[in-house]
Amino acid sequence: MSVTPTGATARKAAAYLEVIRPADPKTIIPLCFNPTEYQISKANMFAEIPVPGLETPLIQYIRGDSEKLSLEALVDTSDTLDDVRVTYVKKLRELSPLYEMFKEGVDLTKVQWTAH
Amino acid sequence: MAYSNKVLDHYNHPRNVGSFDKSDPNVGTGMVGAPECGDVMKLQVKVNPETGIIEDAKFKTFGCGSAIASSSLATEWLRGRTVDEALAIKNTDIVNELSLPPVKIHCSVLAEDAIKAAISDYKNKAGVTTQETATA
Repeated sequence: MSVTPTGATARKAAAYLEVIRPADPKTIIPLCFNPTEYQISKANMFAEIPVPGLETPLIQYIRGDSEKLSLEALVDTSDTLDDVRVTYVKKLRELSPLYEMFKEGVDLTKVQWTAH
Repeated sequence: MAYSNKVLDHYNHPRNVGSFDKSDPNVGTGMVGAPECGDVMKLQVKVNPETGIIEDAKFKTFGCGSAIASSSLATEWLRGRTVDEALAIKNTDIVNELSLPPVKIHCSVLAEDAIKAAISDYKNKAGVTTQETATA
């Protein structure tokens, strides 16, 4: 988790992630991260060492793993963190004669279209 | 099949988007296509009644990138042409200009139909106006 990408502040994301592909470290994908569920795990390994004459074996620490954060991230169609619903839907609505008719109060289900 | 750069340019920067007042006698409106088919194109021309030259053209299109590009290009071509010159625009001209792939040829057909519909609407209106003046 690191740098806040441009535009992300407006989205009020709870956190920001940057995904770096191991195969191509130059490609960094910034993500808004609104976690509903994530998991932090840490594991230590121990081994039982049986000692003759002792009823219970000795427990010996072998190694510890570093902490792992696991989560599911949904990568949406925007790579600029703009809201695609606003950017594209608005643009296409402005272009659409249907939306114009809708705003004029035309009942689109009753229009006789010249079908193609 | 990728869109050509010209299609992308028209899609990203559509020319002459908008509407004229439909009731203006000098404005011809053509609305073609159907939402079920995925494309609706509205093309309007504003004709100077004295010279017969299309002074301005505007469009609004609901449809794919090619449909938007075809109608955007059509409005560019319409400006400055006479009504008769406008009717000479063929869908194949649009296909060639935009390098449309075969599956998108219907978009250019739709644009040609929209031009014809707009011009015929204008002619109807102009005809009606002349008759009215004649009877009055």
